[in-house]
Amino acid sequence: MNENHAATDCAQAIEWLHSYIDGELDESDLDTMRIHLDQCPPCGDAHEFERSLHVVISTKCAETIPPDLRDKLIALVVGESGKSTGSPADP
Amino acid sequence: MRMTRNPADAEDLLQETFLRAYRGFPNFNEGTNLRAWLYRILTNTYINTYRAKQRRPDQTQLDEVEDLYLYRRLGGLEAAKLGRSAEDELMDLFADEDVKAALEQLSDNFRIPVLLADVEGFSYKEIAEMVDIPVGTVMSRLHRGRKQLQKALLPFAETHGLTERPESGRPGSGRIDSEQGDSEDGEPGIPESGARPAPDEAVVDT
Repeated sequence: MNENHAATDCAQAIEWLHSYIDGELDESDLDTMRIHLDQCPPCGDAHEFERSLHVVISTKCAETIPPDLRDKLIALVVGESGKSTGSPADP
Repeated sequence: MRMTRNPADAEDLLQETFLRAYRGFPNFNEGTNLRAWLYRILTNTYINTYRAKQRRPDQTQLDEVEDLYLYRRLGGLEAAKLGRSAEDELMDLFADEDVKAALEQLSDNFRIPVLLADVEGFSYKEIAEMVDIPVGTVMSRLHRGRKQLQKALLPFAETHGLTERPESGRPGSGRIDSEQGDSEDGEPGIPESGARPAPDEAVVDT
């Protein structure tokens, strides 16, 4: 807790945290949020933690499509285009 | 792959999505986001095809997890104060498999929005359109889903030995706890203090 602002500010900041990280916080609340995170070390730390966790989750769950599946999907669409137009391999 | 939880279903889902997308392409409005459009087809296909098959009860989702669950239990990551960033620290703390396994523990109602937002980077509005629920419901499911994900992640962090300070590891003063009214586990489904996330009507019934 920080003597410069009320506890309600912190509660508000924590409530906004994920919208803020997602870039979805209302424009009108952005300045309030930024100023609070800047001036309140506990909320600033919490923000840094949540933001980092977000990056870690998106990094660690990312998948790339295996090449053979990719080829299979291309073949599928090519086959499908052949079916509808009578001229295969010409999407 | 993260949506279906297993590679064979993921492959089927992708193939089905590609076919539907190809056949539906005349309906695609130029100017709309192609990637979002494809994910909408993918999500719908998944919900309609696979979800019924592997439906699991949502009972486990009913316990409310408090905000900043993991942050509080990891004690704000001590090593961060030793010059390493929280991001580096967390990156080392969890293996890819840990995060994937934790995500798979969530039921579809929560997992799909979390997947679409955190892994695929879609906006709340895009997710609302893909899953066909109001934006407020997306927000509330994301909010709860992320907290559940944090709870699911904790055992992996413990396995890796970062929470070695059993009692003192949860600093009571000087952290966010005090501002939160210190509501601990077991607080029954009270929505967050603001009115923004809509009540999640579908938590129990699906």
